[in-house]
Amino acid sequence: MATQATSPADSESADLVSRARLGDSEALGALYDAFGACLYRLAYRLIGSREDAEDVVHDVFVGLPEALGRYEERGRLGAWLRRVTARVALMRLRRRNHRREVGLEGADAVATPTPHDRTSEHATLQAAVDALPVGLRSVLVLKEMEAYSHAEIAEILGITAVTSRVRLLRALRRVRRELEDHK
Amino acid sequence: MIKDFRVVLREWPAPEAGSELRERILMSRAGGRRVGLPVDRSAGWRVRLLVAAAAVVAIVAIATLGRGRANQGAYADLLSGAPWWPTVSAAQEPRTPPRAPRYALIGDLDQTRVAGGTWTYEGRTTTDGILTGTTGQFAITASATRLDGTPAWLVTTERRPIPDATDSLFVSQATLRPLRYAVNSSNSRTHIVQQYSVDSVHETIDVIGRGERHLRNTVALPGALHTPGLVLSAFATDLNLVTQALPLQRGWRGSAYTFGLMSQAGPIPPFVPIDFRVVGRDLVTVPAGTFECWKLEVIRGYEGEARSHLWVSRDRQWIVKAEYRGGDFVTEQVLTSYAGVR
Repeated sequence: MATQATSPADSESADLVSRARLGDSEALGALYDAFGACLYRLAYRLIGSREDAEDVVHDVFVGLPEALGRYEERGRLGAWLRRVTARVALMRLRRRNHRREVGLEGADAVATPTPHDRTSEHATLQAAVDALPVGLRSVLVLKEMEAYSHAEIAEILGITAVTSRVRLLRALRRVRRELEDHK
Repeated sequence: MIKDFRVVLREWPAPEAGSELRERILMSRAGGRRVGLPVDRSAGWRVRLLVAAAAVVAIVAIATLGRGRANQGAYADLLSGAPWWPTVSAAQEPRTPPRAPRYALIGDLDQTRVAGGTWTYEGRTTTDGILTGTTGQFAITASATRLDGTPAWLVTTERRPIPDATDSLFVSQATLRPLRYAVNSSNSRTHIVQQYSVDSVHETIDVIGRGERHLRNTVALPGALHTPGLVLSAFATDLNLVTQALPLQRGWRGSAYTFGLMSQAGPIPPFVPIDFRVVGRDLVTVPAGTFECWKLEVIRGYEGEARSHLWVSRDRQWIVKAEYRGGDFVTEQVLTSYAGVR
């Protein structure tokens, strides 16, 4: 089960959704306050760039009033938003790869040192994750970092749960190999 | 070496979003900026129609909605039964204009070669050598009829993974261009009709109940009037008629257009060129038998140059096999049976 965003109560969510659908900026702002940080973290982990992650979250919320017209309120708003965000992030990642832009490994990893960057092993781990093909990386991020189930990953990525499992195994194998090579 | 890097990954930090992001979002909205977001699967039947359309186009011929490894998820699972939605590649982002056709538009068809029948296919996806999904069977039936006095082929599909819609596609026997396409959801909530004239298409989409809407649109058709068109919304099943009429031979190449939904905002433009080229000959064995085939490279001119391949029998020019190879996966659709109904 994926980690849940801190979200408003259901009745409050429903009210915010109704108002946001109508383009109420206050409601949109409240939704951002409730879900923005969680969605940004997800986008960042998927896409590996602060700027791109901000653009993803920006686009999600700018498009949200219209998109909410297609939200059927069957499930949790947070889960729905996370799915939408993941898709937008992956779209952006795909476009970026087409343009052969420098990703995390060339930019943010240097600009945004984290505790894990302090050792070469962690840097190697980060590089190994970044070097994964998008299809493998996205499964790895969603499963290992975001704690989604394979069924949830399947829904987000439009793949089967079996494929998700296969990709995770392949991603883990590649990362492990990279780490061993750098021992 | 990190002993358990999975634990490290779980605790991997992420930075905070910039403090100005919230304001930027609200200013963008206030400034009139709008962004189309990916449609969630729960958006309903209309989405599943597009899913199916994209999926079956991929099955039968193309599998080239995008390119590169980023789309592997979409392609790998188009044939795997469910879920059908190629989430990433078909998300509702602003459309990119398709490129121009690569080759001369197809104009030298031999319509007398075309025969009706029922072709049944089966699809599967193999990822990294492991079978990761099957579609079950998918049947296409083409039978001779008349539409408003015009000799036509009526093409229908039976697709077990998407049983919640019935559709009918009428294709001109003279030009192999579409005449009329209609689809109804089994719950009778969605009704789509595309009425084609020589140079335009009039589309009506009616959705009743929740999210009720009624869309009307008339759009000029691209390409030459004699060029066959493949109705993407109808799963491009008319391709099975078109291939029968192509003058296939070594070195042959030609382009046509696919026609999608006109009124439904989405990632796939209404008209996208599709390019065919004979790249070789193969002896292909499928459940329906062993066929000497032309091997065709197929490229769909939208957001990429990924190639799929069709094997078309040399004698009857049926589609015997369709294949798309990604980096670590293969999707294929093979002919399991044929029954003539001419």
